[in-house]
Amino acid sequence: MLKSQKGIGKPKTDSSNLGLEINHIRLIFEKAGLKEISVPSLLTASDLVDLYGEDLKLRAYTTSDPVKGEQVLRPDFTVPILLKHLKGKSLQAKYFYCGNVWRRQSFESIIPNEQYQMGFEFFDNKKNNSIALDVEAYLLISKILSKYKSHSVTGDVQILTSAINELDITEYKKASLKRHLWRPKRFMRLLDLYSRQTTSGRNIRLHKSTTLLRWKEKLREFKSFDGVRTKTDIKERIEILEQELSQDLIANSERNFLLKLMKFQSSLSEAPKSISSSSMVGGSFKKAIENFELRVGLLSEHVNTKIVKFQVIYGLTTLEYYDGFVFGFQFDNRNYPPIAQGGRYDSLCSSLSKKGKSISAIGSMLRMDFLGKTVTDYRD
Amino acid sequence: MIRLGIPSKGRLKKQVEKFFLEKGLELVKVGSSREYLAEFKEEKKIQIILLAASDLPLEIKKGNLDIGITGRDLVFEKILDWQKWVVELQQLGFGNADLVIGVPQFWIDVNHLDDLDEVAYFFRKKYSRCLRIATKYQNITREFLIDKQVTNFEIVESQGATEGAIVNGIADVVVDITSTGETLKQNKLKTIEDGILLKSFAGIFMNKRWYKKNKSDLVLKNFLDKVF
Repeated sequence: MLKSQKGIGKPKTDSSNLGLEINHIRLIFEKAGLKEISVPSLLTASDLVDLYGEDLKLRAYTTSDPVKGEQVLRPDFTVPILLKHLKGKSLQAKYFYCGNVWRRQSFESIIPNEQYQMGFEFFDNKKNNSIALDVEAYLLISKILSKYKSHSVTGDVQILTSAINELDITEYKKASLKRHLWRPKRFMRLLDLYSRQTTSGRNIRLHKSTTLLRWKEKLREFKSFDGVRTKTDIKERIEILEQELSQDLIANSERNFLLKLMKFQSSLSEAPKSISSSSMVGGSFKKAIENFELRVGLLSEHVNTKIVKFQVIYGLTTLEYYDGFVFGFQFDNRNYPPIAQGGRYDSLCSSLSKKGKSISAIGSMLRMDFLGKTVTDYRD
Repeated sequence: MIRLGIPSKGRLKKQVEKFFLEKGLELVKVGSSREYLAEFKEEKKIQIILLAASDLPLEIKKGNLDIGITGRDLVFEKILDWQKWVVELQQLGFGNADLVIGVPQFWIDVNHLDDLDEVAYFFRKKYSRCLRIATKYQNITREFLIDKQVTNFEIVESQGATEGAIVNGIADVVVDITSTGETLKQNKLKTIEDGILLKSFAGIFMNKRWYKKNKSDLVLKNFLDKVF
């Protein structure tokens, strides 16, 4: 925080207590044994586009640089910290960070384009039990926010993905569904396609065996094949589609169960009982529910889980790359975006880490502009 | 004085000139050496500025031009949230073209965005990189594909000869403007079922703020009466 100069009494920004708040949170982080980590504000675009896809360019500020190539203003801390951590030798670490992130916002949004964030990332060996860290992460945020009137919502995407794993369908179908979990429109299309639900009116692509046969014949007629995708690639895909034709579809009961899971919400204390009473059986789903129960049990030793909300797919569309336990905190009285949000992102870790390293991670960020009251709510 | 911008060259310019002539407005150059200014023989209170069609949208947005005639595709591409900045008054009967996705004809299994999405994913798994899409229309393409929830693609900028990008090894797929589909065919490309990003045509666009202020301006009224 800037020290006030001689002759000037209070800092001019007296409506803001951002500096105080930052120091306060920094102390909490340090006491909890977290180490500060810093990452550059300017990142190489191609690294990130690879991860986020083109979506990144809709949200992040990109700059042109004839020497270094396209650069991006840091849109979040998690990815650059993960990349930095993976370069090091250790598996385990607890970091905290503070600094600006830059994101484009829509006209109506009250989130500043340049936001000040603090947060943390915990990395651990994947073999360890992650539930303790889940709880630690949640409790750390709720400690920081304890002086505010706020409430939290939690979610657990793992429950949904494990349910998909237990469906009686091919790995191909499972993989497509899981790949699009974050994109509801496409996910619903696939779910309809794989259960032959044509009532929804969605224009669904159905490959008939005669079509596939005709494709194979036609493919033979081509002589030149420009580009990276080869004739073999195409043949292989047609073969997959052919095989899929004779495979089982998603049963109606299973489809309904998935849809029910996606809509499920209750208090956190009630959730394990309601979900485990469902008809779904099978190894990984059972395991996910067990983990969930354990986590809720552990949490209830510290917080009143009756007032914590639970929604299986909480944050599914806004919390990119999170794939397990997720949480968000919201002020009670103000219609602000979540002031803190975080969760587990194990699959991002495994997709980025080299072979042999098996890292799991959970992290959370705090929107400091809302805590430090530097944001004017135009909607008030 | 109203500032009207029109395309400075090409087919679009000729079509604009013809359009005005049919409406009883003849375009004449101002002076002998200044090729980029003109006026109507019949209406001296409108200054005509000739600009590259792709530069026109931003000049209308900025207010350097009050009115401009250009393609819808260019307005959509160059101005984010274009409706906030410009008013589309009228579509003219020319410059019709579609902005489409073009994939190699031998991609016999790709006929739908669902296929493209799946192929992009396979592509990613096999070649560890995104499907590259070459286009001059980066913004429209990005918004369209993200809205359709297609993933694993990357946009490669291409300012011209986009249809050749695949043969040249710059991209795997293209997004390009086409009126007859002939260029696509010549380059052994095909369109896919739901792969039309935009139906484009030439139109009259006005700076929104200027239009609000000058709605009842006599010169503007006269001009609009003539061209409508």
